[in-house]
Amino acid sequence: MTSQDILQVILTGVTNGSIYGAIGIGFVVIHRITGVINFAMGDLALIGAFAAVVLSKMLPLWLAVPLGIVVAAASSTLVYALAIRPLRRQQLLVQVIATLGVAIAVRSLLQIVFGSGAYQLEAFTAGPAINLGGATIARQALWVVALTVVIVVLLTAFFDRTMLGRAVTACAVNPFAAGVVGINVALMAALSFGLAGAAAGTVAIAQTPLSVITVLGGLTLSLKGFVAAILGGLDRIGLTVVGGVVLGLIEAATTIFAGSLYTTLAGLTLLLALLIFRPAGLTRLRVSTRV
Amino acid sequence: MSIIEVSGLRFSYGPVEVLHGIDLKVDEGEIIAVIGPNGAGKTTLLNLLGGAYRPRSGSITLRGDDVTRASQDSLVRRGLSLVPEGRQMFSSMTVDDNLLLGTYARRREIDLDGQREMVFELFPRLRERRDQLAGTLSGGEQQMVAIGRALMSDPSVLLLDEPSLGLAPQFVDLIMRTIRRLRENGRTVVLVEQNAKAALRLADRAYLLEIGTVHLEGPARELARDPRVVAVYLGGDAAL
Amino acid sequence: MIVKVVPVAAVILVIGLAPLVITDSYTQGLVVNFGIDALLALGLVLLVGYAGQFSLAQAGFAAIGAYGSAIGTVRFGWPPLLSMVAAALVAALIVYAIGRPILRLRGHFLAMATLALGEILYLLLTNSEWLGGSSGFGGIPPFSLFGLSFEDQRSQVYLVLAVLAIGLWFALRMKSSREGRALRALRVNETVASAHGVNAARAKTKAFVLSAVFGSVAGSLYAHTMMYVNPAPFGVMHSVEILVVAVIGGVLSPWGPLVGAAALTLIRETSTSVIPSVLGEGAVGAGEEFTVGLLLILVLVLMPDGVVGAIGRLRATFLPRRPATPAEPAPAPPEPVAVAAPPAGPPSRRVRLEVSGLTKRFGGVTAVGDVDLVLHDAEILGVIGPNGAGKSTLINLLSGVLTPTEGRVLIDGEDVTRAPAHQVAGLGLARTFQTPVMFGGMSVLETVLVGTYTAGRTGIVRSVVPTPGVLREERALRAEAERALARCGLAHLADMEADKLSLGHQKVLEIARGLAGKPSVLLLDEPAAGLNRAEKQQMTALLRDLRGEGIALLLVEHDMEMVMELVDRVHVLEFGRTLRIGTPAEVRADPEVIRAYLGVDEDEDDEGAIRVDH
Repeated sequence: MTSQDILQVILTGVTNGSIYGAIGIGFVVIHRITGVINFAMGDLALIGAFAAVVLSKMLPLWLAVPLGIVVAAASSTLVYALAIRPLRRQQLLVQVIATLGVAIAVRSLLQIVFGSGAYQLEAFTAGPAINLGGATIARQALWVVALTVVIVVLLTAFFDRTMLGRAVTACAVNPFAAGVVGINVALMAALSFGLAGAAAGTVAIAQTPLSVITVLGGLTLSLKGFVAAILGGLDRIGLTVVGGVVLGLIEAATTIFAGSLYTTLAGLTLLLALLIFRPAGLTRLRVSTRV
Repeated sequence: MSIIEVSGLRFSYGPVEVLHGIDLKVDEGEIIAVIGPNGAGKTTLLNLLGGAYRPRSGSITLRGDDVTRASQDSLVRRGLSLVPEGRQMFSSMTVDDNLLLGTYARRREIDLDGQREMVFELFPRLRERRDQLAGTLSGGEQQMVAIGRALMSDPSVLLLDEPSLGLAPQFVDLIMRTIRRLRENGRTVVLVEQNAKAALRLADRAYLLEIGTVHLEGPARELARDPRVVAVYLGGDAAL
Repeated sequence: MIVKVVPVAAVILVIGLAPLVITDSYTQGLVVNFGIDALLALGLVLLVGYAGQFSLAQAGFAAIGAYGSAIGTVRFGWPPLLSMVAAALVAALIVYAIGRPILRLRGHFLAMATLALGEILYLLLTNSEWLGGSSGFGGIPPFSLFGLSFEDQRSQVYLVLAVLAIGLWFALRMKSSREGRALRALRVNETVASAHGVNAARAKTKAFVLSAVFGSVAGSLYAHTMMYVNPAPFGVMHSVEILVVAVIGGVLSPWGPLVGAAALTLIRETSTSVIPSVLGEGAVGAGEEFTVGLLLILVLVLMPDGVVGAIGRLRATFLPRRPATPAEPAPAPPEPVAVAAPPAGPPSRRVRLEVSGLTKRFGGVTAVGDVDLVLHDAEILGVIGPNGAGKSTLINLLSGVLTPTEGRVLIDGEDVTRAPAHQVAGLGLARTFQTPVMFGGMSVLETVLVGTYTAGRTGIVRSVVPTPGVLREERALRAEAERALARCGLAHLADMEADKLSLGHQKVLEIARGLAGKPSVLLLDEPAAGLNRAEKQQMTALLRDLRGEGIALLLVEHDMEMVMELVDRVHVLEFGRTLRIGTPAEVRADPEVIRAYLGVDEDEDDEGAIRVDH
């Protein structure tokens, strides 16, 4: 193993990890406010990516990308309104199963429209891959990493600095008290779905020029994003991205040393091990063991 | 004119009716005490007034407008704030953030700095603690935050649910003096208390609730002398 | 009994006739698929419907069964039955290892963990050259048993339907067995089920193991009917479809999967015939998936308890089987008050519950501080105190729901300080809850039967085979439950649905449920809250009788009239500490107690102060 290999593992790991982290943020934002694990997270992000691909055929890229993000956010909000909100009096279990229904419906709808072929978007900035001490990183990968950082910064600022962001957090901390001060808890839940869709959608779009997208990619995205979210304790935005990068590095190392056949297997095994041995992830949160 | 009028208010948790038709009115500038033993329905009544629950039947008016089914948000905008039982902090947020969120429903009209200054004047302790997480405060300090948060929306009517619960005597005293000051500033107060003595000393009129009905009502002074109050709390022949 | 015989007869009739009526091989294939899907979903119902968790690895367990049977028969030359059992064992072991830790957690960790597990299994199969990779391998012999070979398709229809019938029998027996009742109670409220001796994590793990075994067996059947295995049908999508089958049919009834599987078969058939003409040939799979996803959401929103649940509700609306309010029986003959305990018992009475230095801190807050307490046979101890005094915390500490920070709790001399709730229940302590918790869908008698849990021993698997021993135990538990009901004057309501009872009856029913476990100590958390005057009087009489029978009662209650009338001694708490212990009269006249209840009296002059007449 050369230092070049190690550098390549790091570059690939950080790039892919950013994607997982951003999807994970989607899980975290929704889970914090509503308690729901949204199985459709990856598929909703893909809606954004496919929208951007379609829009880029008729609009300039700088317009197609933001519109794609808007589509992802809007779809996610719509999912809340149509599938989650009507089930608010049911157990959480029922709401979670409903997101599974959404995941299937979204995926098959995409398949009906786009077929199962691969789609790609042109890179945001043209140019050859950058060589770093023998390892390479695509320019688009820098976009992916940078956008993930921007998402973390923006969301953190939103939750910590703005009135609306505090109101959303307040619903997570104490929904009853949030109602008492006049915060519309349902509206905030819808907003959290929108934000999750936007965050996950942004990175799903940004990674489309890097590797192709297919309609079947949503489930994999969801699973990997969930690993990141678990590592972030399903609560911390920054730690979720760290968790995503950890997964990305493990996968990249597995690919180089054991072959790509085992990449996904490594991630899934990590998820299973985490759930069994360390459900609180990288955090010190207490995951209650008794109800 | 009455600022709040409640008539025939009924409420059930599932199949269990806990309020069996409450009538109550509150005049402008009054302090009304609602007392009674545990399980009498005091907290339920206050949560209904504050819009946290929806009644099964009956009506609530605020300054003559029907607000029986009004949202909590619209009630706060109409100048009615609830200080819920158990203080209900945003415990992982700072005191400042808790106060800030108190202005949420009226965030466009409220002068944030001025209002916060008013709260800090009332509770100087909170100024020292403003950057501390609310969950780390003592019970008395949390109660100050809860009242302060409700005052941030500059309400004309304040609904207080058991503000003295679990507090040491000096805090109880402070809270009661604060309530008196709030009235002097022209606010109307509805005070739910198990601590009947303190509440009756403070209030103009009082309602004694027992198992979901109004058992006694009248001037606070008269209730304070009424042996039936003790009987309702501790049992005995006088209750019959 | 008629209700039970009719469906069983119908099932036998269907199994017997179906293969005779259905003769074309296409439809036979459909029936086989239907049976396998229904069996898979039935396994899931054991988990979702009885334990309240869901799994996305059901197709994975089917893969274990299918590949296990294939490997066993083809590679090792084992007989089919042995291969099937070995595969099921493997599935059970995997599930046990994963279920034990994860089922302790709240939330949806199990769903994600099983999703990951399913994917891992799928990838392993796809990547394994030994197992033929993504193209799989064939040559699997037909299922055979005692020389009987299920070779032609008609016999396979028999086989699948028969196994399905066995599964259905299993699920139905289990539902009304001791462990099944425990699981159903657990699903509604874990705390309450634990209070009756149910070990929640273990019971859930058992349900999970069973559901995997069902999945594995269904997979084995699949291998023996297809005679060929490859990874494709065992992907996560199939797990989701099985969940959909369970949800559509309704997860609360073993009959649900049958309805759901029929619905799925119908959707598949319609999709294949309709979608090509609308969306084109290529969209069949996607169109079918879309229908499934949409249907899942619609069913959840419109009829969350599925088709069978919806039918049940319709039937309840239009065909009430029992009068809504059964006639009250003639006033029960007055209970023989043989051993009415004297208020102050002789010193020889046995100490049932002994508590010393009991302390519970939450963070910096002391909810209960240094409480000492003794409770004897045939005694009622009242625990009172203003709001927030720590009364409920005390009950939770004594019953093992909470673990004390310091101090000791002895029941009949045995240290239970750190024992979890289900163990405490086994040692003769029962409790009721402030708001009665009824297990939805259970009758009054079944509800009380949950209370007999600690008295029985029959496990899930044994309960399925009605051996004399099993039947004898069930009869004994039933008799005990009926006795407890009669004891509390509820015998006439035994067949009613428990959650349809009035609050007053529900409160009494909780006591009956507690008594069914034959406790020596009964903790009552506000039994009179919300009752009207007449109901309170009945409650008072009942508690007095229970004392007369020698049970040690601890009564937390706000209704002072009741407390003062009923109890032998009163223990007053304030801020979690003992304020006073005494007779009702002493406590009521105590100025400290009055202060605790009515407030601080710091007035110099007594104007506005409340005077108390002694």
